[in-house]
Amino acid sequence: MVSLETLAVLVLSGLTNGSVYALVGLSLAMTYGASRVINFAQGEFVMLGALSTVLFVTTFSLPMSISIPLVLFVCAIGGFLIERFAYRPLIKRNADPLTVMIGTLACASIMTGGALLVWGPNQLFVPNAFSLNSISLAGITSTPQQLAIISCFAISMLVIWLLLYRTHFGLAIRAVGVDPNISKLMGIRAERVIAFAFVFSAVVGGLAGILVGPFLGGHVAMGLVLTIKGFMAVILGGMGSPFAAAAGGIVIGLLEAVVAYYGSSFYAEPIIFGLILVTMMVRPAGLLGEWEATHK
Amino acid sequence: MKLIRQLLISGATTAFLVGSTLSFAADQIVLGYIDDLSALVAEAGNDSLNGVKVAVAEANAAGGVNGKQIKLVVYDGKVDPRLTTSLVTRAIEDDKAIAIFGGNVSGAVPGTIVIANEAKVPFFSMSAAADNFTNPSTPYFFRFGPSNSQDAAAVATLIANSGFKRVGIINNSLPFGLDGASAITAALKARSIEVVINEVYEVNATDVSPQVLKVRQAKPDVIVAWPYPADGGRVLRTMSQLNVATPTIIARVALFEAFRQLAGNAAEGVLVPNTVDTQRADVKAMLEKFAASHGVRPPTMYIAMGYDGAKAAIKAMADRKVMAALDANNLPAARIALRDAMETVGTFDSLQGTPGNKLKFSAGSHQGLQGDSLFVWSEVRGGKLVKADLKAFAVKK
Repeated sequence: MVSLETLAVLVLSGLTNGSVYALVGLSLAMTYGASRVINFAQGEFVMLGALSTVLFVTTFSLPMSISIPLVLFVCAIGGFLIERFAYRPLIKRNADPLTVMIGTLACASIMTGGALLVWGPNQLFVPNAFSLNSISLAGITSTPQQLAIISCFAISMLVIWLLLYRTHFGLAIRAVGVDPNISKLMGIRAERVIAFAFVFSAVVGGLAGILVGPFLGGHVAMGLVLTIKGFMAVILGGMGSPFAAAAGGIVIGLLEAVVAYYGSSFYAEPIIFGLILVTMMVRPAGLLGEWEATHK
Repeated sequence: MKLIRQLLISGATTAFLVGSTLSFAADQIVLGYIDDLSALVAEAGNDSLNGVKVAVAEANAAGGVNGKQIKLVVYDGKVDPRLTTSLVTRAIEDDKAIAIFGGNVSGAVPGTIVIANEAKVPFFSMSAAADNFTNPSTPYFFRFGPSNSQDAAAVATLIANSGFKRVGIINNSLPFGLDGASAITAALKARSIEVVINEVYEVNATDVSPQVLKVRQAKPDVIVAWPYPADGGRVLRTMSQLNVATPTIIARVALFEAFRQLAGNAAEGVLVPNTVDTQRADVKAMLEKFAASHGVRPPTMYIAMGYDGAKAAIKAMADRKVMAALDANNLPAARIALRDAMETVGTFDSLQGTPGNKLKFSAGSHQGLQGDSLFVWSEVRGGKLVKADLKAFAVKK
């Protein structure tokens, strides 16, 4: 029989890890939904968010309340630059999606190299926005920083849902994702919508970096692993929908926690990849891909 | 006519290149350094590299090795074994390195051993700790840092002397963590001490509470953690979060500042094995010299093993057979002679271990650090490393 404390630890751990994967996954899906391109530089915005926090808080001694908007602004600029100087020129030259994806991979590499010049190769302590001291709520022990990751994920989901399904602009984003040419004929400025998706995803990535940095440590190479985990979440949940990708991230996080407790972390990744493979066979569009497609 | 002109030009170019290579080989000796300089193990890689640089600068300032200046070529292999091995090959074939330094990334070492032995080029390895890298020894691979079994023996001895009976081990899933846990388990078993649990976690996991919870539920009276710096910080923070106040010993990665910052107050009182005794006068002098050229760094073993390795290589390069081969522009013979000299010279000074400790290499052993006097124990207090109070640690049980 599982004790309540064990259950709480597993759920909290799964939600924490899952929220990180989900934030990267939903930002990947957001870009993909609008542009039909997987942005392999997405994880680098988590890195940029974490290391920019070091820059503003530690190096420039700015308070966190000023630093966070600055970090998000830096990430937004990064997202804008990738769209303007990598995605858009390649699309204008009729590059196929694979070429554009390689373009985003090149951007990831450039971002890592640039970060290496600015922050150096060592692992850095990222100042925490919320306390890292333990708190107990109804017998469950956590930290405000950990709870902030989960809350940030939940709020991001809500904001994206409101944006996509309760605004005209969201309708335009979804329309561009279905067919950019027809949406242009309908008077939608598809290029602006895609630029927004890149910028928005970069900001979400940066936010994830601010929150996860104090746990993972800031390092120039931290983006790639997170991109892979986010990509796994997108594939498992379903391409093209931020909500499906987020669900995929949470499933992966919870699975990791359960496998780690009842078995060993050794088996978590093979099990998750096995699950993705089986899911692809049974539901090629992902766990929620078809459901999302019918509700677009 | 055009063809003849092209042949003449290409012939002249080739002659120039060969000539420049010969003159290059004649007045300088090239050493390669390939390691992680920008990824997860970069702090160790850069510390060791700078230790090598200090020793090379000393040798060059003193006139080089028999009048030949030493040139260091440096490549960043990150934590990528394939990249590392291709850069090792480049240093051997293109840069004409007589020997290669590196080996702070365990995962990159097996491929490097194969290349070093096939190309017959000595490889001087730093902190990669897996026992099987030097046991059995292979002809061209020499290690200057402690092996996992030496770390493990020190940890097990401390645990036995402190009277602890139930040990919990938690380590990451990288070769360093897995091999370390395995070596500690064997060392504890040899001392009839029970390992009540061994938990493994994925190095990039944001949360490791399921594993820490399992360790807590096993009720060990001492915990041994074998992580990398950042995940080590997460393990200790999670232990604090889950109210695990068990005495803790942590791998040498705790020597890194990043670990202590990431762990915060949760690192208070943990013990760390270190091979660098900062009370030694020669260690103090070297660290001052290091700080003058590379800035103040924590007194880690990575600096010391880089310095030790380069000093040993420089001493062995002065061997008569090595010099004769270099003077004859016979680099392959010089590499073989250098390997032989490492065994025949055999004993080299070391900044690691207790005062007077020597590195010892022979035909049967390429593990330089030997004996029981290698480790001094450090303790984290107020975010700094201080000399450990082992009696107080034992009392905690």
